[in-house]
Amino acid sequence: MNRNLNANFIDRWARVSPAGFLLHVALLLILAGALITFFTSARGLITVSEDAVASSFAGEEGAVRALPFGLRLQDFKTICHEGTSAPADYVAEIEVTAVSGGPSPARSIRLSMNHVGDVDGYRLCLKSFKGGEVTLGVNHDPAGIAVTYAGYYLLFACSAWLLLRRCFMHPGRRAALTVCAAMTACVSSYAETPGEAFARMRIYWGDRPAAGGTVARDMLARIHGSDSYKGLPPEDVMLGLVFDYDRWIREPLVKIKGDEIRRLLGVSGNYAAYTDFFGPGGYRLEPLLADLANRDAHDADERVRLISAWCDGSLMKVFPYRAANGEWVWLTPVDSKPSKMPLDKWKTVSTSFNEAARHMSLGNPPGAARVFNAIADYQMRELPVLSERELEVEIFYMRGCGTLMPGVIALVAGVALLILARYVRMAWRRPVAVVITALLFAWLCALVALRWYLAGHFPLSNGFETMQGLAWIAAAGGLWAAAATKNVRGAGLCMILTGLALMVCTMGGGNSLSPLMPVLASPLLSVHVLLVMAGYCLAALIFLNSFSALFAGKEASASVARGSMRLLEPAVLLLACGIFVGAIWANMSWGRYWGWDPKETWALITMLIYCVPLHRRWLRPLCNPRILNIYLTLAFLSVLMTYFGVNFFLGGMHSYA
Amino acid sequence: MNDKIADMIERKVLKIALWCALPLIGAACSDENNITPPQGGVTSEKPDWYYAGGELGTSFLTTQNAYEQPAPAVENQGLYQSFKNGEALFEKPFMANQEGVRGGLGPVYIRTSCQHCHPNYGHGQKLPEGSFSTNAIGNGCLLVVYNPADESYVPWLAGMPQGHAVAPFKAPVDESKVKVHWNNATDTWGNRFDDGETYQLVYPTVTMPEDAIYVATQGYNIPTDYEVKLESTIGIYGTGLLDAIDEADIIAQYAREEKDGYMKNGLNPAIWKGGAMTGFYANSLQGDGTKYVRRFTYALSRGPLMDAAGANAIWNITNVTRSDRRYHYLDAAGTYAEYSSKDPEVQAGFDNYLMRVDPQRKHASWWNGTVEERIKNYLLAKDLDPEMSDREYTDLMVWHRGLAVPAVRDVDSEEVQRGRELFSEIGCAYCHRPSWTTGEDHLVDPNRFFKEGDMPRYPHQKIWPYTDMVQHKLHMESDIRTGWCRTTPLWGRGLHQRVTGSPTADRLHDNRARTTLEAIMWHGYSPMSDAFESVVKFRKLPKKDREAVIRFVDAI
Repeated sequence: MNRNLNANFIDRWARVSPAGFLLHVALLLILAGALITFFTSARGLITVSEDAVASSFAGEEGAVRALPFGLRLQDFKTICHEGTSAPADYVAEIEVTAVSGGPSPARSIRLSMNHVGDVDGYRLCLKSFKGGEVTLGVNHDPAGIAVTYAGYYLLFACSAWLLLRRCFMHPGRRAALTVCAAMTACVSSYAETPGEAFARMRIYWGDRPAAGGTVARDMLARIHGSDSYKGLPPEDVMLGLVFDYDRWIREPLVKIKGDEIRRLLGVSGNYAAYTDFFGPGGYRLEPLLADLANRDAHDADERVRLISAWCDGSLMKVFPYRAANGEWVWLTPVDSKPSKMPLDKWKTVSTSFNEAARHMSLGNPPGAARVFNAIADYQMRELPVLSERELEVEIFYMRGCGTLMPGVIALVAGVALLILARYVRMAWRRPVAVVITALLFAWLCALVALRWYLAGHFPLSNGFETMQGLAWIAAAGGLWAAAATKNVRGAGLCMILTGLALMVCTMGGGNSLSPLMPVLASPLLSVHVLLVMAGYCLAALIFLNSFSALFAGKEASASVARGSMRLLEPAVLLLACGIFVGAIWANMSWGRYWGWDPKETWALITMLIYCVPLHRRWLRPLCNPRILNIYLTLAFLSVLMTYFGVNFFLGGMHSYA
Repeated sequence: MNDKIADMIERKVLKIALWCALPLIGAACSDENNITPPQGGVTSEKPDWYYAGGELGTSFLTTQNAYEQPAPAVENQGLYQSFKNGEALFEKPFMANQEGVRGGLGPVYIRTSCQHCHPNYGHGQKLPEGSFSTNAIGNGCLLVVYNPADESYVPWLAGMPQGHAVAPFKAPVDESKVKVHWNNATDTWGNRFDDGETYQLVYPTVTMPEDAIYVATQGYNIPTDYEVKLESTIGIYGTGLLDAIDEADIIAQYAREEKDGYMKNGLNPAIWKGGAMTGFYANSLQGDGTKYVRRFTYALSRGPLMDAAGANAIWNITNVTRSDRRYHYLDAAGTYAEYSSKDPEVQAGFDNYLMRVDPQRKHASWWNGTVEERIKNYLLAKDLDPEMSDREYTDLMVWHRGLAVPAVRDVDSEEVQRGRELFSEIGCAYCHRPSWTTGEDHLVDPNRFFKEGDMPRYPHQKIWPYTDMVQHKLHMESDIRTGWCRTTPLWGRGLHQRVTGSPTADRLHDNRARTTLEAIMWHGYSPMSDAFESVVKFRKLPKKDREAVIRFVDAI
């Protein structure tokens, strides 16, 4: 019996491919590295200042440990994105001083958010800056890091081997996919209507100079819940509120929810006018605001405040001015002007909006447009950020590149492809599938490319962008399925996933562009997020596939389970590579490759959960297709927890993701 | 079997797609385009009453800085640089140091900056119940301390009492002991219209105990029958235009009102009596005593703008001296100098103070003699060094005279137009005279400081201030001192809340009216009021028409 078992065991291992075997060796190495780190490393914090040389650090366990060198702060500065006060990076210059008998000669190192320093096997990274002192993380772990990295690289190599082996087995899969990034032809010209001219003015908004059109759209969406009012473009509405205030505050612009508020304001619909919020007794929402839990009242209050601030001009930061200390400030027309401001600039800031108001109220829109164009010229003379071309692209992107429309189209296309796969046996269905998926993929490529151009970094830095990334990967999968594998049903499923991901983008409502946080300014951001999102994308496809078979018969279950299993291996490999690329990045930014952060931990749990079915030859119940499908359906909960749940319930260092 | 699965998936997915598509279809169908873009809804031709400040004195913004715009006259006369400098003097705080810009605050003062009383260049805001704090921007009220028997200001405090001092001197009034209380008032109609609409009226009373007055705490025996009231600042914009009205036209207005005889209280005999002007403004101290028609402040205490409230305030609010005001603004009876000079704490710190004020010991009388004499000599000196240069003072007055009036809003609205008709029909427009035409506007300065050409000018402008420049009586509860109050110009007042961020409309001399409706109803509080009959007519209007009147008053 025992011999039988042993033979069985050996037999099962013999069926493991060399790449698969090496992959497990890699995992063992990573574990071994972690063990070495656990037993031999020393970690802690050291505070360095300009006044004294620090040569010992406080270990995590509380003990004070000596360093074989000394550290002294030379300089610390915050580098801002050009023309903004949004930090782009924090940089500390540290002087390393030799300790008598120590191995290190005196020198200087530079630490920044994505750049750690290595001194004699000690890894130093920036933690915080306060009151002239910089706190650094210290990590002394030469052996653990070496072993772990060996494991990582082996894992990446094996994953590539396993994935590419499957790719090149089939001649049809050699089809090359090209990215078509459609750029708009940018004609630099002056706008002739006030709305157009306003859209082309820069307004400092969300820590970046944004196109006026973007700001108007954002404002209207926040106030009205939609970026159009009675068919008017947002610029016209928002200009109306400033230059034709008395009429526009009587328009039902403010979105309201809840019968209590409707009663209080005496309105019946979903929208109230700004004037509805005020009565003889003052601000009508006031009595409701004491209740902090009254979400509807506080939401409405925020909208009223936004309108108020917009109308009084205090949000209109349109005049860049370099202050005496060299920093850029963006002045509104209502700000008190700096005493030293030269007269010509003072005149522009003081009188431009009055001039625009004159033209607007006297029925001379081209005159107002000329004023806004002149302000745009002033902006470019003072601070040439956000070029004409970028501005045009931003306006084009914000107006025409929502995710709702492609989302709906992708869903409809997905359904259509499933119907084609099911009912139509004609030869033309495959070319049709290729055309549909190719068009949608091209659309998404254009969305990603435009955003990449505008943001200045690959767009994977926030919730909206990662979801859009997921949709993009799913659309690529759909094209792949249609063109390379001729799998129309697979293409349909991919399109549905694309559509759902784009819908999630729409729900978030936040496609606003914001400057990249310092820690995210690393090329590894894109690699890390892309790999993980590709893994999640496959996990979602596995979920859709397996879920569809839950109520089907045995035969169908088996067929579906086979399909899911074909996707499972790349899903796990992509996830694993994504997680460990993240670990390498963390080692460069946070000074350690693993920190049991909730997002990290849950990603690991997800990966382990998805690993289990790959080892089902040792787990009999999972050989039953029905149980396997149930397992793979439920496994998707771990993805949801990792992607959404952690942010809502746990927080941690990945809160921006 | 695979077909079944496909069926199932299709059903589910179709459902999702339909859910997603429905709102799109809905959105496409609900796009009714029944509103015009901002530039398309107005006519290019505006009625003359739209240009509140005429061609040379109107601005067009309705944002927070609506009262801050330079009038076209400033640009026409190439005075932008002066205007810009004056603006900074107005907006930024003064300091007690002697060097650098905006120095020389004190020894006693009322506020550190002009903006404290004129938030965003506008009218003061309604005070909260309780304290009287002048540290926050927005409290534009002055304490009016007077003798109820003859309604004259008390001599033992400055007419505009100071609540702050630079050490070692002490504030003439301890503001923390001054209390403001808001009381309810009910008019003859029970604060109710015939159609059931109600309103509330509130008015302030102020208490200032004796121990809040510095000289009283030092032994000065003050009479106990003084009363305290509040008087708020009004906006600064448009004062240059009012200054440009010909004296003859104002005199004609008095003559007309006397002849008409509509006012049950008649005209203030201190200003006009028996067909002739009795009370002129003259400056014999700096000027030559030439007589001018009075036109500024509630009490009509001032004549031409160049020597009116603003020219005075930049000196007496801050006690910053200048070449034509080389003395301190203190109480008329000299009690402050008297009791400060005897105060041991003031005596102890005086030398340190003097080292800062007169480091080169240029003023012998401040350094020689007993400390009591030296303090008195300093406080009552007539040869103080100018702390504000003539250039700065000129810039400030260019800015003051150069502020434009916001254009009327919403002139195309039928409701506003209806309100305008009613405003005339029920008689409001008699005292709130809609328009004037300015004269030649040659510079007039009783102080003999400015020259023709220094200032922006507004000749021959049709302006719409809604004031007759004459005083009337309203007989309100806890009324203004003397009861006579110059008809306040209504132009631009509808923008007050948007400009200053005040939660209330803050109308009337002590900001008691929280809404325009309350302000109107205070005009009819007493049957003795000059405006009583107009309010009776207002009460008879249907609610829609009453709202039209209010909308008009807010629009101008």
